[in-house]
Amino acid sequence: MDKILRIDMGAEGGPKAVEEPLGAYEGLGGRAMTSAIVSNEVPPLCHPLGADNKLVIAPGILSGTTAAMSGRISVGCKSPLTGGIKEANAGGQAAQVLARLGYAAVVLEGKPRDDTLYKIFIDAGGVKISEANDLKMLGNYDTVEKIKEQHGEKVACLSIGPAGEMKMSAASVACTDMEMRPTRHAGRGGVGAVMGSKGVKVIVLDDSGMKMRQPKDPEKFKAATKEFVEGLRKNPTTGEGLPAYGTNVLTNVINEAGGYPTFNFRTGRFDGASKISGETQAETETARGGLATHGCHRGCVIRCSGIFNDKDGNYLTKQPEYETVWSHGGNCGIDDLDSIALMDRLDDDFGLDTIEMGATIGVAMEAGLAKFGDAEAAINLVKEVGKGTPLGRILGNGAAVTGKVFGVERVPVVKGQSMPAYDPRAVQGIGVTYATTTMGADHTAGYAVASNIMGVGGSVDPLKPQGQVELSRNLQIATAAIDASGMCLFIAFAILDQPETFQALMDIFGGFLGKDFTADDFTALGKSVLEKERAFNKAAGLTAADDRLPDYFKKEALPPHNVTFQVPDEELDQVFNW
Amino acid sequence: MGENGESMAKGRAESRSGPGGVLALEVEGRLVPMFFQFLGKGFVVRTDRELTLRSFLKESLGMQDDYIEGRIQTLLLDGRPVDDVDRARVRRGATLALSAAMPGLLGAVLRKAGYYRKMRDSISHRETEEKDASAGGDVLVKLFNLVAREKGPALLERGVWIPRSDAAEFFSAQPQMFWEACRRILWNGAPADREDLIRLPGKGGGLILKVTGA
Repeated sequence: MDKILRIDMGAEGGPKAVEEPLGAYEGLGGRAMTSAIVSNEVPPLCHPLGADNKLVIAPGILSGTTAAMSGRISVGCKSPLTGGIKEANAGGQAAQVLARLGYAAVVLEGKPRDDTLYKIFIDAGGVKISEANDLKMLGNYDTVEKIKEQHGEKVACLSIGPAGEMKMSAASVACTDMEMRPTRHAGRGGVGAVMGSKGVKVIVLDDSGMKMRQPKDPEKFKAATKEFVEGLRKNPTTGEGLPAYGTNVLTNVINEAGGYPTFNFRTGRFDGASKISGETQAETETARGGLATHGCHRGCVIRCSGIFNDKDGNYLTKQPEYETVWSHGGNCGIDDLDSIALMDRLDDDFGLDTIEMGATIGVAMEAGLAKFGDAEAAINLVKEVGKGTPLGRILGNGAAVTGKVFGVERVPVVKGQSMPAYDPRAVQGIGVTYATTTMGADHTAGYAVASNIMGVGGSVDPLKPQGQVELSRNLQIATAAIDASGMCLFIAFAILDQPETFQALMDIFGGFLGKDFTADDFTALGKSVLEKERAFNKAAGLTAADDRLPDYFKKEALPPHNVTFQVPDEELDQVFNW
Repeated sequence: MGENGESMAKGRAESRSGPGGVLALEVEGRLVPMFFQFLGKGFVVRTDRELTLRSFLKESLGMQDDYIEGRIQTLLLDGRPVDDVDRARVRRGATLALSAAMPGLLGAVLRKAGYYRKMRDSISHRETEEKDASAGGDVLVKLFNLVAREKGPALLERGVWIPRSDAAEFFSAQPQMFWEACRRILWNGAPADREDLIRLPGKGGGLILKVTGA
């Protein structure tokens, strides 16, 4: 990865591609790369859908190597949903292929002069940009089928569906998986709308003839990778729980703990939870000839995904994630897995963030557009978005816009972005992250990375009163570093529990870079990412008032534990003081 | 299940079999996991006295210390995460849920005595000083994910008390292939068929469900 590809979509005479050396961006990857370019080059006050915004696509630092789990790709820009900086990342094949092609980043710049839609094809021979108006308003699935006809089935695609073309703030960028299905999405913050504003329907990546990226110290790298994989396999979460049930294994337990947002965050328990749990989902998938254990990209050893078939045994969608099952399920009072899976399929096809769409439908139900529990009505609302009707345009711009249009107070967003599947009143530490992350409400912004083992922030007593803020801060730092690496966040559990596996991860970095890489280096990387993002958001006009949960979380007690969010504003303002 | 656990399970069956009935199924082994959902929804365990959580797990569910320490990572007593199994007490009317290790930040946060437990401080279980050694009674137990998979077959073979409405809903939803894989159905010791099981809801209450895989 020794070059950056910049494509000016508004160039005189049509889109123009230029390759540049890395320069000041040397050594960066993933979120560190996207946030560095956006913070350096995008005017913070620009319109997110205008010519001055840039869409940055970057594989992780370790992507394209033989390091297991290194297949995450980051997509960054100024967000049309939050008005701040955005990094959304996804699995699938794209990160590995783009990295092997040698690109540390692809940057889409400028704005097309008309409504022509383009396809960008990248292989070892270079870049070809061609008109693709035949793909207009196609869903991601049909788009990928067309690409298969043109380029075969060994390429990887990044594409947008109709939602991205209509520049909706809930629009995602889809990445194809191992079966070349558009099931892995950089979902959050409307990155698909920015790709749509650049007039790019699909980027096709072909790494034929390219080799794996080589480490500087092959022996150290190989030994560390072996140790790392063994650590993942022996850990009960990464080696047993996730492969068996996927992320949806969380449903039953979070529901039992009273932290499962139900009926648009009115209560913390859903009576129908067991019907849509990971356990039930896995049984259903297996019984229908699907798969309960499946990877989303080559090189994945956790394999937390699966294949969800319909009642007739035909492929419907990939295994819906916990957040999707929650957003379209319990959050809307829906306890039917088939309906939820269908909405997952529609979201993937239209190119929509499943969290944002489920939360938006919850707000729409609160507004009276449908009844809680009415699966058919919910499905029809998603279809409205795909069709781009006036109602669909409102819904496709997310929960905040929908709440404003229909006069709803209970709108669970921070910085305009919908909260994920964990009620911050039950788990207040997550509320701190929701409120303060640079990204808008985001559960992956402060993941359970081994901040304790890394010693991020020094030695923290997790039980002292200020523990919530310090834990959230340290998790956000550690997560930013993981997001730069290209590693899947689910490695967190093995490195959280097993110091030797954490050391193996450091040695993978060290072996690849040919120098010692320590926990301090990891921490410094995470801090530098967050500092750039905070500075961009401040310049974009975001203030401490944006680092808050909606007021009703402090006033409405959440059953069954009847708790409100109690972390004081003054403490929230200390998260980024390091 | 240990000796105490076996006698407890037998006691439950005897106390419930009169008004509730015993449904015994012999099914093809591949069907057994389908019945784990009853363990997730909850089954009733009767105790004759108040116990610490550790004692309850050992005596009533037959679990060993290494399983309690190693496999069970999250314990929820009346929906509240427990950090100390030797201090928390299981009382009449309680609901206890057990889970193996889980992903996500919540997976780490809900763990017993985990590093991130402060983040869910507002809902954590806090034991009172009140003790009533004679206060036995029914406890609703829920087993999730790998705990259900590992402990489920033995529990189902010995029998678990579940609401009839749950059973009827389950049997009503099963396709023909399910019934073809049921080798023997006995209701209170007498042969029964699909229609008998679908009619269960009208009778209310609960039943002892026994499932044997062959």
